[in-house]
Formats: sequence, C-alpha cells, structure tokens
Amino acid sequence: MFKGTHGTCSSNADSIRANGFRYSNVGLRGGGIYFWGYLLDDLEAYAKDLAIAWWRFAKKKGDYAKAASSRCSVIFADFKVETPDILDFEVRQVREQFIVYSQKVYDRIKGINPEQKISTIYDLFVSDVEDSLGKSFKMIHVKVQVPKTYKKVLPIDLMGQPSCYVIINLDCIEITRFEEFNDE
Amino acid sequence: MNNKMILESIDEVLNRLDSISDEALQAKYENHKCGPVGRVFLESEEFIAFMMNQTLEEHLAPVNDSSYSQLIEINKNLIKPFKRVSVTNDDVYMLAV
Repeated sequence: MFKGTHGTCSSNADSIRANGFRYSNVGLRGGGIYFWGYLLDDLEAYAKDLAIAWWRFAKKKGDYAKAASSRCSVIFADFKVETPDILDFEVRQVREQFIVYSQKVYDRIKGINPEQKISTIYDLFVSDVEDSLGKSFKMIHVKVQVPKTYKKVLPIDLMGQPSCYVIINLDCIEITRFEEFNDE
Repeated sequence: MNNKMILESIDEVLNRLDSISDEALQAKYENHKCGPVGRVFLESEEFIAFMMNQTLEEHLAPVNDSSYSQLIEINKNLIKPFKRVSVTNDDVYMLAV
C-alpha cells in the first residue's frame, strides 16, 4: 500500500477536510499534490516528521501569513494506485532517460523563472510519455531533498533522500486522518 | 502495461525530440498544461503589488477587458517580461494559492 503525509496549516487542512485537495500547478517536480511517501508502517513517524518540517519551512517563508490558523496539521493518506499507474523516476533507467530528455530540451527552451522551467520540464516529460503510452499516470515517485527545517534523526548517508509522491489523479487519494501539532 | 513498455515509450519520446524544431519545442513549453495561465509568471512580491490595485469585484470579474490592460500598464515596472494573454481572475487566483 502506498501511503503518504502532507504538512500544511490548520486552515488549509480544514478546507481540504471540507472540499478535498485541489490540483496545484505549483511544485518543483511538476503539477500535483505532494506527499512524503512510504510503504512500511514503521516509516510513518519519519514521514510525519518530514511533513512537520515542510510546514515549518512553509511557515517561515510566510506561506500561511494570511491563514486564520497557522498551526501545523498533518494529513495522512493512502493511495489507490497500482504499480502501472506510477511513473517512477527512481527506476534507474527512467531516471537516466529523464536526464537525456532534460539535456535535449533544457537549453532549447527559454523560461523566465528557472524553477518554473524545471517544473514544466517534469510536466512535459510526463505528458509526452503519457501521450506515447496512450495512458495517464496517477502518481509520480521521485526522491527529493529533506526540508532544511528537518531535524535529522539518522545521518542522510543511512536514510538517503526521502520519497515524494506527486499525485496527479486526485481521485486516488484516500485521506485516513488529520493530526494537529502546536506551533514550535 | 509493464515497465518495459514505459521505457520503450520514453525511448520513442526521446527519438521524437530530435526532430522537433526549437520553435515548436518552445511553443510546446509555452502552451503546456493550463494554456496561457501558466505563462504569466510573477514573482510573489510583484504579484501582491499587482493584486493591490484590484478591488474584490475586479478580482472576481473577468479581466479580459480594457481595465485589465490598465492594470498591466500601472504595474508594468513591477512585472518582468510578460506575454499579454487572455486570463480570467479565477486563473490568477489559482496561481496565488
């Protein structure tokens, strides 16, 4: 079972509780809803800590400045996906093919914002592969850096980079619970 | 569908890339996803400044009218190179979230 955590403020969590997630185009690995992913229940606490660290990072940036409540809320979810529904950038061959794709397009397209350019290259790659396959992916699996605000329990050399699930098809998200944490 | 099919599809994508002109690739980039909306890139501070010139009514109403051009003119020093396109305020709101 694919599982994940999503850190946000309480106000956003209330909105998600009432209306579900809303697709976002914003994200360095392309559009979608971002979760810290895991498979084993033993890693739930790790994923929760990453979600809290993300919330801390976003709060520091001022993302929740206008929210009625900036308290930390972590959303836990399961994802109804099968392996063929996932484009896994951590499969070595896929990653290498994506590197080749990026090499072929990066200098040929002119983008205003470098981060937007990276995000769009991910999106273009996914949609190109979907067009070629004649099928849509529901989820992207990609490793990302831990938030700078994450307090490491074990060295990165042991943990590696955490898994991120970018959910493209929101129908596959099954929220299992919300947890709130006091501001730190 | 198995992993092999995905890898083969990516190979096809990579092969096709070689025959795409720079112009076609740039157009594809420009038109990706949500069409023109995604191409209106404003830095957050600039976006706030841009939005400060709008009332709630203006924000909720379609902006592809003459007042939109005026807003652009007012803020042209705050906005980096942009492409004038048709957007609605609903679309702009999506970028701000």
